[in-house]
Amino acid sequence: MEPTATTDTAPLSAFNHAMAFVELRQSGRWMKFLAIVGFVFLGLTFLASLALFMAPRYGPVIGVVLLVGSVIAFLPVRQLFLFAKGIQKHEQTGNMTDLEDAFEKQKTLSRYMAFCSGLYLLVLLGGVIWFFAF
Amino acid sequence: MEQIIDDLSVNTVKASELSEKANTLLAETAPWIRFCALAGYATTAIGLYINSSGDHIRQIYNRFGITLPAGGSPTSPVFAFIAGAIGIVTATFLLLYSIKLTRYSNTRNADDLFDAFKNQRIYYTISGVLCIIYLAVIVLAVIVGVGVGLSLVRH
Repeated sequence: MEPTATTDTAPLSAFNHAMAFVELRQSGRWMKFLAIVGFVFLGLTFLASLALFMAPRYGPVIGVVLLVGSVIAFLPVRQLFLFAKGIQKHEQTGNMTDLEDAFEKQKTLSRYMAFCSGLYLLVLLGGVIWFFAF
Repeated sequence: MEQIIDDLSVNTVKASELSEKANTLLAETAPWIRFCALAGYATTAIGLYINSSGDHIRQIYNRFGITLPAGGSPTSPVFAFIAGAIGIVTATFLLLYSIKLTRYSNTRNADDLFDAFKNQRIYYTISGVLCIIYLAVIVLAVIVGVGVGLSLVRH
């Protein structure tokens, strides 16, 4: 009996599916590294902003800007960390719910990043328009 | 032997196939990632354009009482090239990730899922390596700064 197309491609599909998960796990390790570095930098920025409150002249103003910036940047870094943690958890348990939670975090992260990059782009475009109107 | 490999592969796919909810979440994520990638292209292009129009920037700075050194652009062309290349390469992998993710959402083909996650892995690998280089530069700057400071104290 001739093998059907489905039975021919099934092992290849299975292999690609398994390899896709290998790629996802490798991404997860980099994500975790980036998130940890992000947390460290946010912590340092937070400490610097507190120190600037005691500085003379424009110190408190720059301190407030840094504090607001570190608060805004905390959410995507946290989401990235949780995304990486979810992938790692799925790797250990094989539970699909963990991966669903991870993808949920990825969705929140990408939505937030899209909003921030859109806002940044608008500010940049505004700056360029102002730049040529000068 | 082939039968054993086939059985192993089929078991792996049974264990690793994505649930319907996971597929929906990936499909909903793809457009946002695409937007981020396109914003990355636009930001890089605007940055390079501003960098190339050095004389105008110099005039703006002059209005605020800051005098920039004469030259074609306010930053080094090498820096502009590297920053532009990094911006374009990372945005491209992000865009490829979103395109493959959208294709996977439509076809549910494992090849597309593999391609999507491969592009995501490359994007995060580049970001991670750049982060390591950035950290290394900071450490190097601190070492050089401390070294110069100590040599000044001695002399």
